[in-house]
Amino acid sequence: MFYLLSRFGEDYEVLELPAGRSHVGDFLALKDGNDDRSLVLQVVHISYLKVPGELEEIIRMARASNVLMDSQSDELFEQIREEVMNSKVLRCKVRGSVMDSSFTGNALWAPSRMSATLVRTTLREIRRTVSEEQMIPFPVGVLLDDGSDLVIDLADLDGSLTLILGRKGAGKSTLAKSLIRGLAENGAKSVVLDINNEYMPSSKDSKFVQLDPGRNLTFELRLMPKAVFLSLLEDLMDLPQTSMLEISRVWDRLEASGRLSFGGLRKEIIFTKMNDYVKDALTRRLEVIANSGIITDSPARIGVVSELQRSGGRCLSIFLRGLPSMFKKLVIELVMKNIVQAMERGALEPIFLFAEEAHIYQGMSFWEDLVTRMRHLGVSLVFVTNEPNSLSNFIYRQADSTFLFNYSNDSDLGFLARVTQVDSESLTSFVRGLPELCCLAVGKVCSNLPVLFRVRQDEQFVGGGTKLFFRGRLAQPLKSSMPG
Amino acid sequence: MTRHTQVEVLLSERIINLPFGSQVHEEEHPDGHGLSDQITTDDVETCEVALLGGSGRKVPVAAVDCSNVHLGFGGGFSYEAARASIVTRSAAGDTHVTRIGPLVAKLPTDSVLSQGYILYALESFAQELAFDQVREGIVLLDGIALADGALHQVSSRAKVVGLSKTVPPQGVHGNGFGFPSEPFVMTKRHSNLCLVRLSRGGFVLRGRVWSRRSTDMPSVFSSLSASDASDMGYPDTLRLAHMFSKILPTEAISARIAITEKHGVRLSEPLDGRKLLLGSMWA
Repeated sequence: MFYLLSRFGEDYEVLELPAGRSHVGDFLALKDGNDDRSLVLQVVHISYLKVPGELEEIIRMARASNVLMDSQSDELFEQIREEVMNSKVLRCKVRGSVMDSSFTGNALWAPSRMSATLVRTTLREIRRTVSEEQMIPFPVGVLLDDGSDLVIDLADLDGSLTLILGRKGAGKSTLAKSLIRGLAENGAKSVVLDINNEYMPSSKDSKFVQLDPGRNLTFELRLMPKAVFLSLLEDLMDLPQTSMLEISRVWDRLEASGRLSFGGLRKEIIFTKMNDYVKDALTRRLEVIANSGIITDSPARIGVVSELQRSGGRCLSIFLRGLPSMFKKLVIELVMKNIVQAMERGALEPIFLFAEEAHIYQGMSFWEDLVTRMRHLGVSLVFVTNEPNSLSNFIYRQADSTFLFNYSNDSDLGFLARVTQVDSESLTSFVRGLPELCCLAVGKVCSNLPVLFRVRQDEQFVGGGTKLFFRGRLAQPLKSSMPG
Repeated sequence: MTRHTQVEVLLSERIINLPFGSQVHEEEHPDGHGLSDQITTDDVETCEVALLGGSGRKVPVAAVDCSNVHLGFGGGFSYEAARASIVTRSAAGDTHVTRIGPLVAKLPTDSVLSQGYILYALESFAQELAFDQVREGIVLLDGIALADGALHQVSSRAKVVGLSKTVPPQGVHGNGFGFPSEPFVMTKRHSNLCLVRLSRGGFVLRGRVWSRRSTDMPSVFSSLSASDASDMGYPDTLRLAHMFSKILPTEAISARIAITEKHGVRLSEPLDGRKLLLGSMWA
């Protein structure tokens, strides 16, 4: 049974007597007497009821454990005493209210303390009162409150900025893979910037394509915008200004004569009259680019845009593991340039872009620019990271939905409390104790109600799991080092 | 003054049937008569002092304590809860605790039966139980204000030792007034009262010994020292008996709820006159 104890600000304190199995994250409906309205409360903290003499009782229990005890007392009295000692105070936050059988995020009223009743409710029941109908329902996991499926609307990711945050091994990639599969099965196109080469389906599935830069992902120099190539040399390869001027002139000449190629660039640099140091600087950098195999004179084997133009759902995973950071940046820049140009021409439908550890291969200004333009371009962004402060405040403010996995570090939690859509008390309480694969979802994707759920593991992907030395060893009998 | 009053004992089903379950004779319960010959620190020089040797015989010890609390008023009655505990320690050192209660006495508010009546009744019951359990050993009681007559029916051969928690002045570093620093017992001729220090460095306590047969106090206390651990000179069994008998506020709350659920009486808290008149700060 629940009893209303007190209210301060948006917080309510509720007594649970006898103590049940309330968990942090559970929902309660606080019904206002006979009125057809109720507040939706969510448990954010559980403590024991402060009762006078509790310390003495606990000390006595400790002593009692060391002696033979024969207690002759009334059963009902003992039961009540145990219930009083075990009773819990649930600190709850108001998440909204249900009025006339319809959920609203507003709760500008307080119920009568004397006639209010409290009952347990579930997210499923609350969502029945949310009038929105789901366009693309997708079971993403299992709710921690009642074990039912958490069904999100994949359409809520469309045109949105989504964040998946959590420390390593918490389950971020598992969730991302689940979402990607859901999107692909519903005909959507996704591009994954895959820094660990882990987005590989276990069985061959034409919807999933792996693009390995330098192998099956190449870019033809002839089709490359001059600005991109020059920025590669200047920003990523630190080419001095004098050399930049020379290569720019060479590029223009070759492009004008239709002879733009790697070979053409090399020849032109060798035979054009220029400073030997400049010649040397350009030649060495062209060698590095050519050896990467990413930019070639041959036509691209697989075109990113043409792959995305195919009918049906599709997911392109761009493998970035092992690439030097400047080539990671180059690949992302080229891929995004191609995609954005195709979108601007109207040649490509909106896509979902999953960027893992985005700060590693592009600066924040690149991503902020993309976030600013994403709705107009038709790019729905999903950032996946284990470093919460690698994303800028701007990105946090624009986020529509956030999935938060376990963080136990106080500074990470403090940072997240400042930038995410959930209050600091709820965030710390929910996120700190989350087990592996469990996460807190906040924002649009769950009707703006903070929800705790266990991510459904996707059998379709093989890579990405934590590789362990000892777990593998324990499967085999260990050779004993003991003599005899 | 004696008259018959109906006293009902609640929360006692299948536990015990206290002797005053139906009708009781109202009379003042013993309040410590016979203590006019208490030893005071002024008597130090006229008393016999015996040091307690470390050669006391190990015997079983049982300690009895009881506590009570006024739960409140309801339906024209006053409700009072009491609990007894008996802690026995065998010669081998095994400890066993028996708790009885809390039992609740429903007393008419116009009765002269004062608070503490159930405490007295339950304590007597617990003492008898202790005598049964320790026939050859020592029964420890909390306090020395027990009438000699209260024990006359005891057929046990146990020695009964009462120790008061109201300690006499200890002097500087517990060694003033000429008290020996070693464990000792200080007795007055023809009296069963004494001052006793049970362990080195422990407090000097007021004590009293009752026995059906004449006994010498030093051997009783030597035996007690050998049989029961003590902290600051106070026997461990007696400390445990106090701990396990005490009715804590949590239990008083639970007892009130149990009375309401079982007997349909909602109890109101007793008024705290001091608090009302003086305010919580000065009460």
